[in-house]
Amino acid sequence: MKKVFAFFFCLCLLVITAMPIFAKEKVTIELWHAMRGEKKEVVDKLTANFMKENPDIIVNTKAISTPDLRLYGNNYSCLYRQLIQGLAEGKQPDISQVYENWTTQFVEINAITPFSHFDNTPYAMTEADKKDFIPLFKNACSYNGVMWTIPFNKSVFVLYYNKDILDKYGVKVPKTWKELKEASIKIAQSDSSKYGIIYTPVVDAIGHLIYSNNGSFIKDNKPTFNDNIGVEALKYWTELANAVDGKAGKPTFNSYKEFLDGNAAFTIETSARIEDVKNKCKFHSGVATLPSGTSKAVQCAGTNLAIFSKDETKKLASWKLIKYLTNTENNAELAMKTGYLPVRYSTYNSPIYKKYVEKFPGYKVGMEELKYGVTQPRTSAWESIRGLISDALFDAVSNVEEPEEALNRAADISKDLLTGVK
Amino acid sequence: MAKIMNKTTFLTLSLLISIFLFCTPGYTQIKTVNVIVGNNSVGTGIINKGTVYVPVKSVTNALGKSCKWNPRQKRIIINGKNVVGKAIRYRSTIYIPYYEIANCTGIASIYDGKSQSVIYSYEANSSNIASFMGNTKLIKTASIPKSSNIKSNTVAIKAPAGGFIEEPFIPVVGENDVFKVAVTNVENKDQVKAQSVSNPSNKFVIVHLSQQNVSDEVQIYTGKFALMDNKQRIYEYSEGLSNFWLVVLRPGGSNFGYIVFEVPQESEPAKLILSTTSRPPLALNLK
Repeated sequence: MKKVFAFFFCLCLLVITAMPIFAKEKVTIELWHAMRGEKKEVVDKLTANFMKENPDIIVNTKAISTPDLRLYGNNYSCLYRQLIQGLAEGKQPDISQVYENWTTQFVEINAITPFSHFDNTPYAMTEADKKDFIPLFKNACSYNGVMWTIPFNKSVFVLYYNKDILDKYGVKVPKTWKELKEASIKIAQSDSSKYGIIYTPVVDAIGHLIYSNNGSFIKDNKPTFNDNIGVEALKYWTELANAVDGKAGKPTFNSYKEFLDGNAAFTIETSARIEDVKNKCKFHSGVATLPSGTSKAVQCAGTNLAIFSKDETKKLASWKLIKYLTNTENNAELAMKTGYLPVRYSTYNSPIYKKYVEKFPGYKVGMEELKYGVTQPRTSAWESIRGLISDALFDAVSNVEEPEEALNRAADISKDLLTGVK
Repeated sequence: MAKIMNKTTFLTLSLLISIFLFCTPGYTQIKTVNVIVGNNSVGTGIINKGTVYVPVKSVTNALGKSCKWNPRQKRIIINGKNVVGKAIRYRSTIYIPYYEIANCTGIASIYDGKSQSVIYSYEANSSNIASFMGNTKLIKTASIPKSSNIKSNTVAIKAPAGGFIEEPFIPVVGENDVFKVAVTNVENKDQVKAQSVSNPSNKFVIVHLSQQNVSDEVQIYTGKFALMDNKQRIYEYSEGLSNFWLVVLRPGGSNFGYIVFEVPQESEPAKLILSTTSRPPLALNLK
């Protein structure tokens, strides 16, 4: 009996001491993002599902939100500031949303890890996987042929319209910028209580016209937004601002809400607003592709995901999470719940997404626009230059300065920024 | 010096400099006045060459009247009517004679020399304003006698030809072993990007600056700027209104833009302070 007892005792001891060897150590990673509302809920749900499927990985998500828009800028400004503060202090997250011009800086200082880093692991990105990403988004994530980030929450600008107003005054959905101007003037003249188009007076408004007339913001590291195409783009908004006693085109930082309130026939916003417009408008709304100029071009918006981990175990865990968040199924979930566009062909062609877009014709518009998609410059100084062009637009539409003078002033400063920021 | 320049040359040069300084037009002393709409103080006006001027944007905003600039005619339009009198620019704010707003809007206005105030009242007669002012003696003309006492509460400004008066800001530079910071201009405004001050007794101070990495290392976080005023109060800047986007700076790299602070009207910027995580704060005197 003694021998049997001793045998079992030794066996138990062996099992207990050997347990930690076989038990997998848990790894904790942190994901920073700037989403809120429904979009945040989707991210929370997907990360929770990921943890169920990967019990050895704990994901802490941190939704960065601004405590005061005027004092601290928007959620994404706060995310950026916290990222670079975190990097300087070694307290960066493992994964974060990033814009392309942020990525330029992070690549230059080796702050992030390219996905080729996992090529020799069982989790490497396959060639089929690489080809599955929509080229426009994939190219925006690549620097010198290397993919440093993965497209995540992407959208394009679209034209939202108030169908009730258009029907009332017999106005067709405009297909060109000229038609949009004429339609806006006609509506403002017909109904003094409505604006034609209402829009946010920032750089994107000029970009719509510059890109769709074969222009550019920056070329060969020099500002080009003050050339004839740029000046005509700014004149377009200035003329609308001065037509029909300021009713034809209203620049306001509250444009989206005013459109939802039914105050205007048109507004331009990203396709990510589509669920909001569909659900919150008390009028019949519609979504159309952006008007054309001499050609057709549509600016993209949204962020990508980057890995900031320094620890190899965390890098791999982060990569697994990014793969999970952007796989076909979860990409479809994000797209259908939020209005963001699919970033993969397999998502776009999936039965579940195809069924979803059939529910509302506007859902198709964003994807149709992708073939005309363009991205804004990726230079480090772009965020400051964006601000300068936005200031020029604001001054011109407020009649403080002539469009050409305003753009020339912005271009002069931009030249120095393009050479100074390095 | 004595070897290079003889006594006659020195005297001639001194005389020429004195004549130049004496003849430079427009160096004058300007008195500030309080501008009141209804019962609220909405800003500070100035008296220039005997005429009382008010900040046009602040007053028209407070009165709920439109104010536009027609760049083609080079005219300010208030309430749809052209401003006839000459506008002046002082510290980046546009001022017009106080009675011009009354002419365009029909709202009564008056300058009270005793309390040094311009008052706008919807009650369109002077007696009501007088009642509001406690029957103080009213001066009904726009022009202030040149002999009036304008020594107290004065600021020196330059008034070049053309009617625009400007006080040039002399750039200041400060540096430590990591950053060189230069402030190239400081402006006061009532409005930035269509955003008005949150409180009518406040103003925006806009600081134009550049920041260069003078170290041999990449600087990822380049710090945060704050403003200290003449009463040692510290203000954070409004990132939502500013255009100074933090960027990673490699050795020799420079970044620049403007940052906007909202401070009380009476506040005078004294120092710009850069706080970083690795060095003691770097302070630049703005006065």
